[in-house]
This record gives sequence, C-alpha cells and structure tokens, in this order.
Amino acid sequence: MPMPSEIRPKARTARIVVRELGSEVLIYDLDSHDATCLNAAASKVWKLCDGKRTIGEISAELENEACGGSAEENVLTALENFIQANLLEEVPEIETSDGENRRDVLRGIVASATAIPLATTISVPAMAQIASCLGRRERCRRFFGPECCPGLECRRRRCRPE
Amino acid sequence: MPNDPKYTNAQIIAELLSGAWRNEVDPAWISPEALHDIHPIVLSTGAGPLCWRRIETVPELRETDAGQLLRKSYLMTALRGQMLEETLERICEVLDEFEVIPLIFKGWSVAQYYGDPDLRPFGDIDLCAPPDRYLETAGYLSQYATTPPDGGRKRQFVPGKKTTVFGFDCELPGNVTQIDLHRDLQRFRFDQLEAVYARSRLIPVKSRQIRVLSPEDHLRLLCLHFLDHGGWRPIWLCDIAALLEALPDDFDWDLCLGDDPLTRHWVEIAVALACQLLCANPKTRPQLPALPSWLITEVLEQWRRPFEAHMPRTRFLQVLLHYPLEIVSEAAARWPNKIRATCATKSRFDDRPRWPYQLSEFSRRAFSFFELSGAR
Repeated sequence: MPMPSEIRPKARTARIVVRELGSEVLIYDLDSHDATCLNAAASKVWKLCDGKRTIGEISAELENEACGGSAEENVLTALENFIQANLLEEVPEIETSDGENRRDVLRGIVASATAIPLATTISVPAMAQIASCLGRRERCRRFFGPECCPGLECRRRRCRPE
Repeated sequence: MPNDPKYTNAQIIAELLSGAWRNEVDPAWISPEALHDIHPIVLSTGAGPLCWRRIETVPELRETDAGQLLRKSYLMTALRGQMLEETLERICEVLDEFEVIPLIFKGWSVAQYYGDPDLRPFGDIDLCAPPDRYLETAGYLSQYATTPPDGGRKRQFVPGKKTTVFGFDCELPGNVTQIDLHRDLQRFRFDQLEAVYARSRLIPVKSRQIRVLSPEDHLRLLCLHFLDHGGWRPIWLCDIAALLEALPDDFDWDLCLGDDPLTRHWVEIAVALACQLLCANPKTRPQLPALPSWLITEVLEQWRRPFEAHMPRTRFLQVLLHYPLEIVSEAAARWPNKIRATCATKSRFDDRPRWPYQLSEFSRRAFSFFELSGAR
C-alpha cells in the first residue's frame, strides 16, 4: 500500500455551495442536496486540500494546531469524513502495484484512522415540513388536505401505521 | 400579557425572540423542557435561527436535542441565504439585459436590517417591476420559468393578475427559487409606484447594486403585511422590530405613516406591538396608541397554533361534496382571526368587541364563495 504522503487530496469545487461561518464551513451538495458542516479542524484540512499538497504536507502544516492525537491522524479522520460526504474530487485512477486505485487506497488509509466526527451532515426539517404532515391518529382525508407523516397512512379518517 | 396557561408557549416564544435580531443578545433563561415544547413551532415558522442566537451561549439549552435542531436551522438558513443571494444576483443580471431594475422588498431585503442577516430565513423573492413595465418584465422572467419549488405547475404570467409567481432556475441544479413579481404595491396602500421607486435606495451586493424600498416605505409595508396576514408568523414582527432599531437618523415618520388616517393607525399599532411584545427600542418613534386589550392575546393565540393551522385549507366545495358532516367544523376553522377581520373590514384596532368584524368578514367570504360556486 502506498504511503499517505503520496496522495494529494483535492477538495471538490464543482456543484457545491460553500459558506464560511466563523471557523466552520458549510457545504451544500447541489446533486445530493446534502448539507455538511465542517468543524474548525476539518475546515482547515478542507482548505489545504488543493490537489497540490500531500497528506504529509497538510499534516505538517497543521502540526502546531493538533490538539489530541497526531496531526496526521486528524487529517486522515477529516479525509474519511470528506469521502463519506463526497466532498473530494475524484482521485486520479492510478493503479498501484496491488491493483488498487488511489481512491481505494485513500479510503483504506483513512478507514484506519480514529473515527472522530469532524464533519456532520446537517439536515433540519424544512420550514413547514416539520408540521405539515399529520401525526398518528390525527384526522386526515385520503385524497386531499395534509398527508399523514411517513410510516402512516390515512385509513378510516385517521392516520394509522401502514 | 394574558395569564391563561394556554398562552405559556407563545409567551416563551415572544420572550426568546425579544432582541434576538440584534448584534449582541442576552442569553435566554428558559428551561430545557420549555425549549423542547416550543421548538417545533419555532422551527416551522422560520424563527429557529433567531432562537438559536438567544440560546447558543447557554450550555444546558444549546446541548439539548431541540437546541441542536435550532443550530442546524441556523446553519441551513445561512447556506440557503447564500444560494438565494446568488439567485437574486442572477435575476438582476437577467433583467439588466433589458434595462429593467427591479425593486426588492420583504425577505432578503429585510434580512439586511438584522444584526446577522443569516438569522432571517427567506423562501421566495418578492419584487416589483418599474412602473408600466410589469408585463414586459413578466415576459422576460417567464423565459426562465421552471416548475415552482412547491412542485406545482409551471406558471406563466397572466395579464390582469396582481402577482405572478415563477419558479426561477438560476442554473444551479436544485436551486429553484420562487419569485413573486408584483404588479404594484396597492395591497400595501401605496398608490403611486413611481413615488415608491423614486424614494428607493441601492444597496451593494457583491458586484451589483440592488434596489430596495426606502426604510420609510419598507416599515409601512412590513406593518401592513403583518396585520393583513393576521400576525401569525413571529418573524414578521421581528422584521418590524429589526427595522425599527436600524432606522437612519433622517427617518421621516410622516412619510412612513402617510396621510391616510387608517393606514397611519395600522402602522402605529404594528409598531406599538413590536415595542411591547418584542421589546423593540427605536431611536425615535411617533406618539403610539394604546393597544386594545385583545390584541396581544390574539397575536399569542396565533403564535401558539401549529404551522399547519395557518395553511390554506381544503376547498370548501370539496368539503361540501365529500365530507358534508364536517361542514360545521370546516366553517368554524374558517372563522377569521380578529386582526385579519379588522383589516379586511378597514376598521380601527380599538377595544370594541371584534365579533361583528369577524362576522362581517366571514359573511363576505361566504357570500363570494356561493357567488363563485353559482357562477360555475
């Protein structure tokens, strides 16, 4: 397996909306409609993922700021979070000697890191959404009016479990 | 404030929102249980970010499930705000090609008066075309019209209608924004759109200047809008409060209140309500009338009700046809609220009983319903 230092992660820039909010970074994926909030530590890693710096270089830059665990461990954890949230650009498909591609390698490396959530998916019921469906046993109508919440169906004018 | 315990949650909401639009806020002192009880209403009416601002420095509230949901609503509002701002820029760019400068009001433009504009969610973009260019502007925008975000039909402008609603696709997939293009502002008792345009101001947004209402016109519009909708959404009163505290030194109250005695009275009532219920503290204010005894109770009554209670109901004709046994309960649900009835009957907010106004408005609506049904 190649050393982490060989890989140069690149933050995704296409089809996302990025918003910095204090030390945090919010990212909205226009394809999946997922929003992710990067905490201060992950935000720093994200900004250094420019496709030019290697993981080792990113870790070195963050060495002084690592609190708890090594800087490299923090970087790998952040990268794992980025992969899960699909926030990295496709790593070039270069075959390694073992037949693995770099993305798999990166996934393998980061999977071994301590899993501390540095990026969290934020989904909050949209305005109206939270109260616009009917709860269990609330009065409903089958073909019009507010619908029953997921998992319930309108039977005999009440929302009942499906 | 009413002593009835049924208004406790609404009073907590009012307390949480007091001053929440400011740059620096006092931490809220409510129990985690109370926060848990009110958070669904707060989130569904768009006041989540404002409440988050009041609890973010209180660990025992911030770390609760409800507290974290409020935080997420703040984050989502910030993200969505950025996307809508991009859409707004795109709309201005599109109209710029045709030398149309739209006038933006409510929503985004009022968020600029908040200490942190990310506290104020806005779902659609309200705009007016310059005088005599409404149809033309509707035509330009309809080229970009797409399915509105509510999933409804793709709508084109209808000559003669007061407002045209578009879904506007700003080339960001999934970022379809609803645009409400208003023919005029007569609904807000502005007779001369030309004069409103002449008083409007430009504010910079990134590389562009966006035209917004003057503070005088905006305050008047927000006050009338709040009352016209029966005051059911807490953030509309926060809008008034935020603008009141951001008034420029040269703010002209006479211009804002206008010459019409009824409009003047309504604006003063809404301003007094923001001062009394949300502790707004403007630098200057006119002589404000005493609020009628029922008004604060009625606002709290609206604020304590779930979001769904304020949504448009099933058409009455369908109720008649399919659920005749529910006519009484459906009719009761359509009984107009006191604030709305007062505005609809063009009356003053005083201590006289409200039921005659409500009955009058209810009858008018019932009459127009039967007239329409007969015509069909």
